Amino acid sequence: MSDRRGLEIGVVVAVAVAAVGLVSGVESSSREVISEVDGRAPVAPPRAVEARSYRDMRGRAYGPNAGLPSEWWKTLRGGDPDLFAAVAPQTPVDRSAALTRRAARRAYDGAPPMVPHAVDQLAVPACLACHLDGVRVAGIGAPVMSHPPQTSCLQCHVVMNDPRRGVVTPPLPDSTFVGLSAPQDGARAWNGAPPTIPHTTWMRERCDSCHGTGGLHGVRSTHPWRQSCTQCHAPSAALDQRAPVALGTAP
Amino acid sequence: MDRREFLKATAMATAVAAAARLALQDDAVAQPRVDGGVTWDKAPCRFCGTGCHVQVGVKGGRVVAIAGDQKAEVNKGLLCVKGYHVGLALYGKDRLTRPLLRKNGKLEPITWDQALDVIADRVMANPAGFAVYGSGQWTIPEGYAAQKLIKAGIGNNQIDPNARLCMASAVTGYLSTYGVDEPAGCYDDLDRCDVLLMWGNNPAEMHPVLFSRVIDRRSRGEQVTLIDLTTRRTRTSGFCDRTMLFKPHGDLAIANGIAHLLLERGTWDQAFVDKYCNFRKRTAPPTLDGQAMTADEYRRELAAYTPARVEELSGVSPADLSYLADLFGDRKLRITSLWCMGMNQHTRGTAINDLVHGVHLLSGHFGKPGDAPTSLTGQPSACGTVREVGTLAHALPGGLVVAKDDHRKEAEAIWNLPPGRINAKPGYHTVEMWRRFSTAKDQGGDIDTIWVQVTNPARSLPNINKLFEPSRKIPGKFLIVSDVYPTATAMAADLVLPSAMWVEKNGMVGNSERRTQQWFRMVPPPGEARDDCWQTIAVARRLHDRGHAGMKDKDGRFLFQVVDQAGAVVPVWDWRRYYDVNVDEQLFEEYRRFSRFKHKDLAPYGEYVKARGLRWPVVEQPDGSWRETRFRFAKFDDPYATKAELQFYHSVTKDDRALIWFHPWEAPPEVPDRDYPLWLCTGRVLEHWHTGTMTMRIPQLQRAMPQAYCEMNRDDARALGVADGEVVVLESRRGKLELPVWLGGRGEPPAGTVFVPFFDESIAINVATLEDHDPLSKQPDYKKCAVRVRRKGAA
Repeated sequence: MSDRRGLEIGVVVAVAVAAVGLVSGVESSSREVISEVDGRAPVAPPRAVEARSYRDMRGRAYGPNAGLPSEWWKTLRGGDPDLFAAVAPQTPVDRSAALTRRAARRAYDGAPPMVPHAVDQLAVPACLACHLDGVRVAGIGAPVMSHPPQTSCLQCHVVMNDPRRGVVTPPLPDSTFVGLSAPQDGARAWNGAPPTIPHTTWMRERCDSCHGTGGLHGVRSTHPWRQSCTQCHAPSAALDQRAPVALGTAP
Repeated sequence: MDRREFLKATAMATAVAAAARLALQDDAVAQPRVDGGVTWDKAPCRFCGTGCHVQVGVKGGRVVAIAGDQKAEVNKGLLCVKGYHVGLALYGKDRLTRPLLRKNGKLEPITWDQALDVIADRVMANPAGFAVYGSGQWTIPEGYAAQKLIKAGIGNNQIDPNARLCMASAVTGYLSTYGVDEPAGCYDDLDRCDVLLMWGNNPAEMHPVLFSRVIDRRSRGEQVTLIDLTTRRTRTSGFCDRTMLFKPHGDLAIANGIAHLLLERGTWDQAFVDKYCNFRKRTAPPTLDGQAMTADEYRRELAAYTPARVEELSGVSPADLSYLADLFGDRKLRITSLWCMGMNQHTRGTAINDLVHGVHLLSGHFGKPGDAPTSLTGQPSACGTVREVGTLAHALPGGLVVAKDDHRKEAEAIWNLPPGRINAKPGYHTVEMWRRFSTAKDQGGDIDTIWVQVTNPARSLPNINKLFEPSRKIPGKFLIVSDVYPTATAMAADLVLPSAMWVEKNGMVGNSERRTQQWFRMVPPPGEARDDCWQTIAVARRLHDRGHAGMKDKDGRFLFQVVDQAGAVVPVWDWRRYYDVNVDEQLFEEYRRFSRFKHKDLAPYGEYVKARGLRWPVVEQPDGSWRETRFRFAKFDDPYATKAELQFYHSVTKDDRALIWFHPWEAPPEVPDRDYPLWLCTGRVLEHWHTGTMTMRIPQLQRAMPQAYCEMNRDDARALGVADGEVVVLESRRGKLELPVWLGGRGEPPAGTVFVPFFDESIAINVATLEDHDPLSKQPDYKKCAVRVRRKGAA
């Protein structure tokens, strides 16, 4: 077995184990959860999933990922996506739809997105296994995390639904908060110039999180193979809290 | 003030601020950024005691976004989920917008003018029976104004804060060990420690940003050993190298056991102790000073705490205890201890605080970066407003106390009061204040009016069936509540005052690491809501106008006289004029004169405008700049430590030494028995803060954790026949309530223990808790009492 082959198997096994960790021992919500990637509602998951063994798990649908077909793990793929695959044309309507879907999981543009699937509430979750590189399986993709890896993911990202089982969930509180909406597009110096980055890049350092091959149709880059985004797309010092210090006037 | 007036006032304030900045010429940091119609400015987070700075995005007079502040040393641009959603705390639909007075059992709108008259009537009728119950969520100027109203004005010393329930035992621990309050170390210790020992602490949920500061070091390849000493497995446990489960109250045995092994093995730091420490034991009745004991006596007292005995008392194995003693015995390691409510909400709170300091001192793990015993606070200004401003029944600002003649004289001088104005007799501590408020006058209940600001005692007091509820039925008891939402306390009040919150007003707070922080008002409060500080000054003025002698200083000037730049008096008691000047700045400049007595020097207000907080003592340098202090008592950093490498310059024993105390383990006041067989522990969760009056109105936080629950061990649940999610009845000798069970949820208690969070106003767990408290700190124990649980409907 070549080293590379071994590595790929290792990656797939690691991801599979982590995915099992994600769905085992946790209960999904019965509320409708829309997949961020394909927008379809998964079938209502069964209750109180608790995997006892890997064999046992084959016969079950798991939590929010319950829309997955049987033997979904066979479609798990390691390795890089095809960066050179053609990107279908994207219209402003597509972008608007993408931003609307994105906003559904955030209180305002820049808020940490909420977690649409159940997570183990006590253990240290293995979020990175899927969200580090955006594992895709059966048409559903885990969004790539937009910032460098940190350890305590659930400090900022909380679940969207009652994490408890078998209880009556109280209604949501009324709020008059209106969050900042996402900017539509960056400024261009002339028609055809590369747009500037219209949002902060703080905690959004990884452009491929939204604009890469796993990004929502409407905001995807047409050239994901280019890796140095800020070579052409200028960030904003003001938005990034790097506004230059004013120099005092000489007496 | 209407919107146009507000904008005008804001424009004026902005122009003034801009002028001030121009004069400074060095400060782009303080300048709000404007981008895409959104104005961004700094503020500390409204919630816990960590003291993260956020950037607040404002558009059209409303907060629209939040970002972590990258220039803040505390959080370095990161927040927790509460911090990211803090802006939403302003926008619950049911904000209080008008003063309300209870008439015929119903709260009805009245004018502010009428409300001030109602309060003045109560004070004038019985000044001795009037009390203020405040908060570690008061801003520094708010707490200072209330403090001055009571101590300098009304003169009965009846003021105490909810922080009594939160960190009073940490205060008595610092005072009895070092002679002066607040941690020697700071958060920088978290960047440097080799070992982080958490005593009954769950920072992964309660101080997430600080916890990440440590565990993210591991991601960078650094070695940090995390040890979790706990009574139940929590989210913190999963990140720890060792989790040691101990029996409730067993912490005293563990600390004594470590000290015993250090002595027995000769691994204690004799050179350090000889140079910097004295030994101390308690007296009867206990005092903060105690009495001297020799090293031999200390050794003999500890001899009983053998590993076998410690295991019996705490459940911690001899191997685990030995491991802890090995760590402390290793001089090369840097060890930081963290604790919060686990050690403070404890009937032996002072004792366990002393013992943990003692283990650090005995082993010399003190005074170097990373080597520190540090208590964390739960409220944004428990340190700044309560501990430093001294909004406690016995205290004056700056670490002074009312019982000492020279301290009262100092305060009278700063406040320009006639000699003898300040009462030498302390008021009632929190539990006593509420007990007397909930007792009829003819039975000794001599407090008949309480004005509550910025807290929710109807849910946060222990044993509320005894301490709070009776007051709502006894004739003649009058409850005034200033708040932003219709909390359980507000809805039970006789008079409700709508308050401005957070960035709807100017403010200053002080966090757990001695860091004083400042922000400006950014948006208008809704309706007729007004600043708590204004409310206090307006009441003082009403009393002044009614001829209350205490409202004038010795020259006949109003206690809260505020002047403009030309020196003319500004009638800030008139709300329309309140923001004509920066009242916060004027109160702070007066207050900071107190900060010199105990070497807790504060800088001028303008320095805090520029900074993301500064840690006191902040000392002026020859070049006119102001330098903060990270490590107190250490010569390499603290300008007041000059004689030796370490100098405890407020030493109890007046010899620059700290005290190593011995305290024995003793049984807690209530333990599980046949009738009430389970331990109850209460606490918080990541998403919610205090009694949830703000966070439960934030949809993103509420939906992630929508309701309180009873966390239970699976074996106990099985024995009771209780299924996950089933509603049970939980009952103590003091009260009972119904709530759903959650098995395998956020925590995992051992058999015989249940845990219930207190964030949910509709599930008032404090009907069950004890009001028994520490004899010195007067802080009650919310972490352990005996309860029973049964299926709903079962007999």
